[in-house]
Amino acid sequence: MKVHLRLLRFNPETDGEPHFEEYTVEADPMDRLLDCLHQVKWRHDSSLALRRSCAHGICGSDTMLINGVNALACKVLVKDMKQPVTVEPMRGLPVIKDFIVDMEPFFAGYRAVKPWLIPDPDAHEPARERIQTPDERERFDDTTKCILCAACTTSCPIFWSDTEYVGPAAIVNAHRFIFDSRDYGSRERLQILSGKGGVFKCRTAFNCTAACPRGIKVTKAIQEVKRAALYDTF
Amino acid sequence: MLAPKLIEGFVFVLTVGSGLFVLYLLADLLRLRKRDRGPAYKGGIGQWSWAAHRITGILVVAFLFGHIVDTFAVGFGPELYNETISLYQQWWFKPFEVALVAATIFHAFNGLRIILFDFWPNLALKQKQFAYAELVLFLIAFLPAAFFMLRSAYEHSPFS
Repeated sequence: MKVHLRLLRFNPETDGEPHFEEYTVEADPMDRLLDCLHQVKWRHDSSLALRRSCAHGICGSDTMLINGVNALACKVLVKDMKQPVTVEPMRGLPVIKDFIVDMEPFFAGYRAVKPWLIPDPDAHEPARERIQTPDERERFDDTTKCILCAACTTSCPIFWSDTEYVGPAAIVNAHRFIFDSRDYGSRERLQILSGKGGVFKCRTAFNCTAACPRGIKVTKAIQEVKRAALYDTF
Repeated sequence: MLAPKLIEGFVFVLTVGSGLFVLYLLADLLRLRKRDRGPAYKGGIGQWSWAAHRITGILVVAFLFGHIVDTFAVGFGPELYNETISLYQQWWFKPFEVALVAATIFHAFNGLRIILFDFWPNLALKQKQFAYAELVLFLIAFLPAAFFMLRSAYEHSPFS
């Protein structure tokens, strides 16, 4: 079948501002949008710039604004898309070229919440594993699924206008460690997240939850972190 | 007399200013800026409730400012106050009052919905159902009020 694509192109060296360009490619209904974009890049216009690595919905490189919602180009099937398919880069992050955006503000928010295990400062090097019950592991299971694709953060109306906000993805990754029984840095993280640009910037618009390609209950996780920050319980 | 002109001017600036500010917010929300020419993000009901919450909030605050100014007129004697307040008795002003009622009721119910998620994060899993239930409650509270207000406006208008 024929697929009509409207791609928001931007080349910083020649274009003053982004503009739509239209392409028509031949694709199978079970192909993915990424396959269509590959066809454009390989057969029509090799200057099309996009990120993609694994192409199987795990690396989180090819998040785009597809027909008005954030999704991974490698997970959206041709048969499920309304034509013409409008593809734009993610919003809220500076566009470098075509669908490649500067992810630095996103990762700055991620780094700000210290997304790594902070061990017990009084304990010496562990002589054995840090044991955890299945229930303790279950507590943060949902937020371990994050692939840092930025679909949630760039769907957030607050993040679009306020890059100081760390964004939903950073809070999800903070949640993953705050509620981990082996971690000792929760209070430190909650201190950071209680401040300016922290978790209370969230206004529960729920775009993040709908956008997450991994099905993480993002807003629920954010609300849990809010309560943890308020009542110092985790 | 200078005072009525001043008060009228102040109310005018507040009204027009807040209207322009709401328009700016709408344009900002829909991302209709030059570099972002795509359509609005197709978020769900949560996104639009959030937007409506902001806009109704600003409208209510703008009205409150105007209301403080017209109450301030009472300090200059009953004539000025009555003259200022007679604006609200005009039949053509009623639709604006209906809009104010709508904004207040929506803002109140939506605020309660958001507070529920703050207390019980698990309710966030059913956010769509909560949003639609809120809209139903809004209509139940708003439609009768709008009916009675508009009926009285109609009776006092030249059309009746």
